[in-house]
Amino acid sequence: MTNKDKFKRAFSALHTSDSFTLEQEDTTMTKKIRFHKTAVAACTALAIFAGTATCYAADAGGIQRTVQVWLHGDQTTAVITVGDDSVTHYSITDKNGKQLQGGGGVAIDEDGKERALTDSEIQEHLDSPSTDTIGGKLYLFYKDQKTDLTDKFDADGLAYITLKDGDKTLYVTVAENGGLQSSTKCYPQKSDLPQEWFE
Amino acid sequence: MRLPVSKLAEKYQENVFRAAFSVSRNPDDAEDVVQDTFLKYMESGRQFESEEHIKAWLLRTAMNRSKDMVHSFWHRNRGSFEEYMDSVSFEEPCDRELVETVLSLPEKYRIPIYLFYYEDYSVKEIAGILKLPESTAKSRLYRGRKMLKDILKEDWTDDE
Repeated sequence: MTNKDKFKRAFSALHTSDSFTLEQEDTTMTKKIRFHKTAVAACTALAIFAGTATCYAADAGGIQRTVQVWLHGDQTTAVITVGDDSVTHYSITDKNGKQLQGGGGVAIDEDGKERALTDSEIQEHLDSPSTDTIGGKLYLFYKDQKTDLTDKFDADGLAYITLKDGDKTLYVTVAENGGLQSSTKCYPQKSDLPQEWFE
Repeated sequence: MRLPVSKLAEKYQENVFRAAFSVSRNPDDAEDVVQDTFLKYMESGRQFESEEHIKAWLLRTAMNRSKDMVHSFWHRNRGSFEEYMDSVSFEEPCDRELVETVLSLPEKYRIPIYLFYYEDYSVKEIAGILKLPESTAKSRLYRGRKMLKDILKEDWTDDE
């Protein structure tokens, strides 16, 4: 048996799950959000994941609240729902109510106990710096600020950006893959970033 | 040319999943990538030269999207690699070892290895898909093979 035969036999065993169904209608597929955020409270880890807002809207039966968040430099409406599974879900809609992005998350305390995120925790994360690629260019977004990172990277593949928000200053280090970390005190260094970003 | 998503999904959905899983090593992320990849195909509206061209585009898009996911700080924390591997029905026990070994290689080596050994792409085609110089693709394939040989020993033959 050749290496290729062994390889094909082994990898052919990998499949999508039985519950996986590919949505084939453009209108039913909701773009997912990417997070590149690091601000984690000292005693609470926030686990926020991406997903389809359509799915969450159908599942969530809790009380819904509406808040304004920043998305790509514009203020948009986010609907936050705490579901029956104690996971806080959110969806972001445009001015016409069309869903743009969605996700959710939980907070995990020191004892490993999960709880739903508060509105302010969700909003804080949605309003913290993020990156996205638009038209082949990588941008850094923070509230109403949009920075083209194209020519900002040094020889190590890192861009160091200072963001101002009133009296608050945020030092952001962005890797070429779009990953970022930020601090209110100093620029995170390469050694602070996940090694996988540079593979 | 363009083909209906239903036809592409029927034929290539699992290939896209495997390519995505080879990068992300997370089954949930890989399924999200499958969804994203076909969504991007629908949204792009671009024309392709052939079905092979579409397949190569789907695989490249899936792998790039997977890299984005893996590299994002809030990498999804649902469904671990180990749990997924425990759930897979491998034909032979050594198959799991091979998959785990390949997926333990650094990303830049395991992707060319996957494309060569599973998808049957040539070095030139791999270079095209990954947008790398042919010499770089060749050298990564060579180093990846060497790593596999070092780990798998007699279970991996010299086949260059």
